[in-house]
Order: sequence, then C-alpha cells, then structure tokens
Amino acid sequence: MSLHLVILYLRSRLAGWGALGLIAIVGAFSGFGIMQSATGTADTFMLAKVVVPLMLTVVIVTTTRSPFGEAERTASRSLSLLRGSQLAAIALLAVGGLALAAGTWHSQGEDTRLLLIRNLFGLLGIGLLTALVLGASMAWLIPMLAGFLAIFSAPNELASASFDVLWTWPSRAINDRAALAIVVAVMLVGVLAHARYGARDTLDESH
Amino acid sequence: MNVNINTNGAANSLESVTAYLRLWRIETRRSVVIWFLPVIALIGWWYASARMPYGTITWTQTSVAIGLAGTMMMPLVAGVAAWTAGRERRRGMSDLLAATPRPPIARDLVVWGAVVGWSLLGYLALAIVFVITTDVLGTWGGPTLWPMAIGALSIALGAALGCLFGVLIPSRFVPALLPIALAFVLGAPHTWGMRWPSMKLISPEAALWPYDYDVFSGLPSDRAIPFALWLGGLTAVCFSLIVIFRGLTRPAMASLVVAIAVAGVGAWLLVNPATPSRADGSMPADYDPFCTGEVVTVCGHPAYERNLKRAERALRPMFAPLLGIPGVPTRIEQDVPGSAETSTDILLMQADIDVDLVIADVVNGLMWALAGDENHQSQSDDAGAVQFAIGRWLLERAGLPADFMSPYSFASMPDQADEITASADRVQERFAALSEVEQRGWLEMYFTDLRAGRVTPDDLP
Repeated sequence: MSLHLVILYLRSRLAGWGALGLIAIVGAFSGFGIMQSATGTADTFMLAKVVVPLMLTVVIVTTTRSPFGEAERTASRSLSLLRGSQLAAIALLAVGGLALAAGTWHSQGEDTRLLLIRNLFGLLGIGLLTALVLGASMAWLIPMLAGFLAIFSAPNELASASFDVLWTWPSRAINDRAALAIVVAVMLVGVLAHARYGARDTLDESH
Repeated sequence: MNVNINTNGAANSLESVTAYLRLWRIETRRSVVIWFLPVIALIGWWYASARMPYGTITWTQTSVAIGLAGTMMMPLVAGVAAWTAGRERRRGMSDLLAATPRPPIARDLVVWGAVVGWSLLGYLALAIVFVITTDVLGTWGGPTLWPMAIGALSIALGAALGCLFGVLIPSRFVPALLPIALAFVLGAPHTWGMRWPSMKLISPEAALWPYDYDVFSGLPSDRAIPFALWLGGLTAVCFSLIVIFRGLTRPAMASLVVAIAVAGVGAWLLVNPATPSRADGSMPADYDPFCTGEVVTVCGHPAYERNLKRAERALRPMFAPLLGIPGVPTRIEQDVPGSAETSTDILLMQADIDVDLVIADVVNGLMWALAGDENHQSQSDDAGAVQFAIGRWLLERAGLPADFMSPYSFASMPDQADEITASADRVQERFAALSEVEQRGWLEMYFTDLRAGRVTPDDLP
C-alpha cells in the first residue's frame, strides 16, 4: 500500500481538518482547566467529562464519511486496513490530547484521565455504529443523544429527579464495572463493524 | 394609468409572497428536521421532566417545564439548521443558485422558516404531552405564556444561529459541533453563575431553572419583554450577519446596528431588572382557599383541590373514633410558606405532596401538638411510645401501613428508635385488643394528655 494512497485516503476523509479540530478541542479543554484552577470557579468537570469526549467523538465519526460512495468499494485495495488505520491514528491523537489536557484538571477528586478516555471510547463506539446505520453525516446524532441523556439524568443537585440507569454510564465513576463493560462491548463492536463495512453510503453521502 | 401600475405592483407583491410561500412549502416538505424531531423533542422532554418537582404539579410548574424543554431543544435545532443552511455551498450549488432571481437571503429565510416551523410543531406536541402527563387540565389557574414563549424564542434563535454558522462555515463538522457548544453555553451559568451572576440573568434556561416560586406567588412577569428583546434581537443579529456575508452590506449594516441595540436593551433590562430577584418580582397570587368536608374540614390552595378532596375522604374513617372528643382538632389547613400563625387547634399539612403524606402530616399533628417544649421532651420517652402507638393505629384506620410512620419522628436519638418501636408495638397491641367502646372511652379520657405527652404505657388498660 503506497504512501500516496494513504495520503489520498486521509484527504478524502478530511482527516487533516479533523486532527486540527481535535487539537482545538483538547486545547480549549486544557485552557478551561487552567482557568478553573486559577479562578477557583465552580466545578465544570461534571459537564466537561461528557461534553469533551462527545465533541471529540463527533469530529472523529464525521471523518469516516467517504465522498466516493459505493464506487470506492469496487477498488482493488482492501478498505478495512485503511479504515482501521485511520481510526486508530485519529483516536490515538484524541486519547493523547485528552491525557495531556486532563493534567490541568488534577484538582478533581476522580481519576480524570481514565474517565475521559473511557467516555471517549464508549461514545466513539456508539458513533461508529450510528455511522454504520445512518451514515457519517448523521453519526453525531446518537452519541449526542447518549451524552445529553447522561448529563440530564445523572445524580445532580439541580435535578429533582435523577435516574441511576445504564444509560447514565458516562456520568458514572471510573470504577463502575457496568459502565466499563458497556464501553468495551460498544467500542469493540463499533470498531470491528467500521473496519469491515465503513460508514453507510447513501445517495446523500455521495454528493 | 397610475391605477394600473399600482394594481400591477400589488399583484406582483402578492405573486412574490405566493412564490415565497410555495418555496417554504417545498422546503418544509423536504426538510431533514423531520427525522431529527423525535430526538430533539426527547432531549427537551427528558431534561424538563427530570426537573419536575415531586408531588402535585401545577400550571405554573408545567408552563416553566415546557419553556425549559424549549430552551434545551435549541442546541439540536441549531445543528439541524446548520446542516440545512450549509448544503448550498457544501454541494457546490452556490453559483447555480446565484443565477436565480430571488435574493440569497430569501433562501436562508425559507430554510430558517422550515426548521422553525417543524421544531415549533414538535415543541407544541411536547407541550401537549406535558399538559396531559402532569394532569393539570381542570385544575386551578391556567398556563403562563411567557415561560413557554421563551422556549419558542430560543428555538427560533437556535435555528438562526444554525443558519448563520451553516452559511458562513459550510463544513460537515459544524452541524455536529454547534449543538454541543451551545449546550455547553446553556450549562455554563450553572457552573460559573456564582462568579458572573449576569450569565444567569441573561440565560433563557437559567431564567427558568431552578424554580424558586410556588402557587402562593405568581411568576414574575417583568422578564417577558426583556427576554423577547434579547432573544429576538440576537436572532435579528444572526440574519443581519448572513445578509452582510451575502453581499448586501449597506441595509444589512443598518439592520445589524438596530438588532444589536435591541438585543443590548433586552440584556441590560435583564441584568438590571426592576426587581432584584425573581422572588421579589413575584406577585402574591390572589386566590380563595378551597375547603372540603363537613365533619373534618380540609382547606388549602385551590390548585390542590383534587388532593384535598382525596385527603378528606381518606381521613374520614381515621377521624371517626375521635369525633366529639374535646381537644381533637377537626380543621386541617395547608401549611403556607412564610406564615407565622400556628395553633394547636388547627392541623397543618403539605397539600402539594401525596395524599398518604398528607395523612401522615395530620397524624403527626394529632399526636404531637405544635406548641410546648414538654412535647419535644416526651418524644423519646414512654409517652412518645404511646403517641407513636396510637398514631400508627390511626394510620391503619386510614388504610396506611403502620410502618408508614417513622419512629424517628418521635425519637430524638436514632439509637432509641428500636426501643421505642418495641415499646410502641406492645402498646398498640394492647390498645387494638380493646373493644371499640373501650377505645372510645380511653381516648375521651386521655386524648388531651396524650397529645401533650403526659400519657405513659401504664395508663393503658
């Protein structure tokens, strides 16, 4: 597989813009962490631990869109390797960025780094499965729904009713085994399905 | 001749409007927002329903919940609008559409109109669901419009923001990232509001939540016009910027200045309200208390009429052995917040909660008179055990399980609870073994002392 092919593949997926987006998001996250430590403002981590992985997820799943539609599937080269490699590379960038940015949130009691990475993997798995069903352009919809529901349903002094149900997994603590099991299952299925089939090609996607 | 020209001009205007409406109809029929609407509405419903207060829901709370749902629909509406507005440039159609006779802003307005139209339809459906599920139809009062209008204006603003970002940055990343960014902005006042209180005052979501008002004071109405100016002005700013981007600079600059001024006035009025806080801005609500029952009278706010009627029916069998006994209060009133009036002749209860808890309040009041330190001291002693035992006996007469009343209501120290419960079990057993005539006779003799905490287990036969 030539380097030229890999570059063309990445360009067709807007991987460069995606990487820039990831860097901007983790940069902003890091900045918020520094600001919070400096100003002593109220805790925003409860919101950020879902919102930041969600933003990274929607950027990553958006880069799975193929501009060529079904025509690309007739190529002689295997797309599974390209898809898997691209996903691994961009996910690695997101994880690395998160791990670095989480250092600015050290004042939190929880293990922020692992918690953010767990949520990223879980939401990314959901996003990849959504892309498989609805296409990459709408792949942000279900992770966003999952993220919003988790935020709104999590135990919160502002909400009179909260629900300790499975879909609040992004709000759960890092040592929660049910949350970890969900993340591992969803991520594995999502990655394998994406590598094998890619995002769904619809008529709209080909335009 | 002039008449003909005017007639043609009017005809042309009508034709133009008809053409716009036709375009809007096509856009509406083919809008992608239809597919998103269930998810958008679900998020709004979930957010607002999780913040519903426990107990009986009133029109005020339902109105605020509907408004809250609207504000939380805004981020996803913005995302869908960004996706729709960006399709022209994303698909390379700009040059082709530039050759059409209509100005580009007309197409943007049609996109906005379609997204807002569908979203408001979803919002209306959501409002109907809220009204049905909260069971407020037929209760005292009626819907308060301005919180719901804030929700609708937020949706319109979200669509305008989406159109702005979609037109300016027609990237496929924008529809995905914009809703999250907006959700973060909406959530920010709750985290940074302590440091920058102005954020809470201008945020449509923070203006409605958390609730700090009840049926005894109406919603402050002085936020309605400032919010209309603020949110409407921001919507106009978005469209002015779109027009500037489209190249119609001079009139757009003027409209931008006007829109910023309108939004600024709205924001200033919100940050510097005539009344410093929502609580101060509330008006005492004018109402006539609702009373029901002839033998035992239960009174409260008319918003809780159903609860009061149910409570009165449930209390009848419980009061039967007590009626006519000197010192037994037969008037039960809702505990009004801030009211300093207390009397041992009137029992107080919270009418906004379940009927079962109303009964528990009444039993507490019957067994434990409000005034007197003596009663407090007797809670954890032998006298407290008797009060507890007779209270549980009364609860059973009202059809509630005896364990519905916690011994902690009577025990000052938690470690005494088991001891008091065991003692109360024995007392209750002895009392229940008496005939109805003996029970009545004992109550006639001891009720006043029982309530004052002066009866011990030895006083029972």
